[in-house]
Amino acid sequence: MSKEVDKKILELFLNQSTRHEGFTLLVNTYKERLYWQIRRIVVNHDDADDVLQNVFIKCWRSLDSFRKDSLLYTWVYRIATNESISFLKKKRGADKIELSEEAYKLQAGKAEFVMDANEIEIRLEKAILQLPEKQRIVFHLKYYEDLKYDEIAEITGTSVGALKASYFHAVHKIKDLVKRD
Amino acid sequence: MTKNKEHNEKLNDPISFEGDNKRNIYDVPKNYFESLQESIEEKIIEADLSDLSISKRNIYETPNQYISSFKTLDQKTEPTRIISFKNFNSNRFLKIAASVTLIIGIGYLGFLFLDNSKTNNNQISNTNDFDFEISEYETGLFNETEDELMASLIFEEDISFDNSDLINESDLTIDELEEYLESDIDLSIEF
Repeated sequence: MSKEVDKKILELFLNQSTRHEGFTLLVNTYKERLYWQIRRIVVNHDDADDVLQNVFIKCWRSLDSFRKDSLLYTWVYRIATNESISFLKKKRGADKIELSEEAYKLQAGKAEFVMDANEIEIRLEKAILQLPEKQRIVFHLKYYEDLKYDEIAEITGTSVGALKASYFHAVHKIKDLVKRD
Repeated sequence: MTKNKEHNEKLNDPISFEGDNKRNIYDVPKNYFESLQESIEEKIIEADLSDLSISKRNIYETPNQYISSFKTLDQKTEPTRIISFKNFNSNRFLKIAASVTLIIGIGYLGFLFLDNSKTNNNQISNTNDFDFEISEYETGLFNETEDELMASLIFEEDISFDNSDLINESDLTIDELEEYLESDIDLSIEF
């Protein structure tokens, strides 16, 4: 994550005359990364689109009051994480079902993968879906985004030690699931 | 201590799968990311407007019973409806213009046709439908130049032309030829 870009975003956004420009830079910098983080949690594209838009709307409304005690990207990722989890909780509440491992498997079966996705890739995605939400988030941020433990700790509000343990369990579970299939 | 070492090593052990499996394999609609910002901004505007709770009622003051006091006008005194040129239906205009042009065009062609047919009656057809019997003498006469013919008329001179070919080719004798010249020329036109 480029700290210079984050600095630029804040500078532009906090100035009323360049606020829109700052927001555009924010969206363009983070849209894809946030999308994939959210998509791996909620699976369905339309759901991911709703959550992603809500994330940016929150950024628009709250960036003025951003306290520079954390980095901008960790702040944005935190919003995305919280929104994704809130979305799933609401969905569970609306459907009144418990999203068990079997449900995730079903969800994975309905997910649309790209035409050239190979077998290992699909197995990996399906295995990831069988992880609990928070473990899935940690796995995504560590494996796909390649963030450091302290950055993930800031995003998830969890200690570094707990994250390491969570990641460890996630990795071994996925390996077992992928080999089993 | 050994257990902790093993535990730490496992934590540091990166996942290794065959090939590059870090790419995102979920299908995304075409141009999704390009149009994302626009969708977000529309939602922001919508949310801001709903936050303001703006009423859509009209707040300008109007005189009492102003709207209800509108009366329908008498047909006799109804003013002429003025159609603004801007609101004029251009399609209708084009149709009318096309019709007028067609009528004028047909009229003009008809005029031309009628005009031609009148003069045609006065013209002698130059087709080969008519059977003109023209004697060889007359053919010879026609071969003279206009000037020579005019000269003969003005100066009453005999037209002297070389009719030797004619005489040689025809079966007539000179006497028969002269007799023929003295007689009336009869142009038989058979229709």
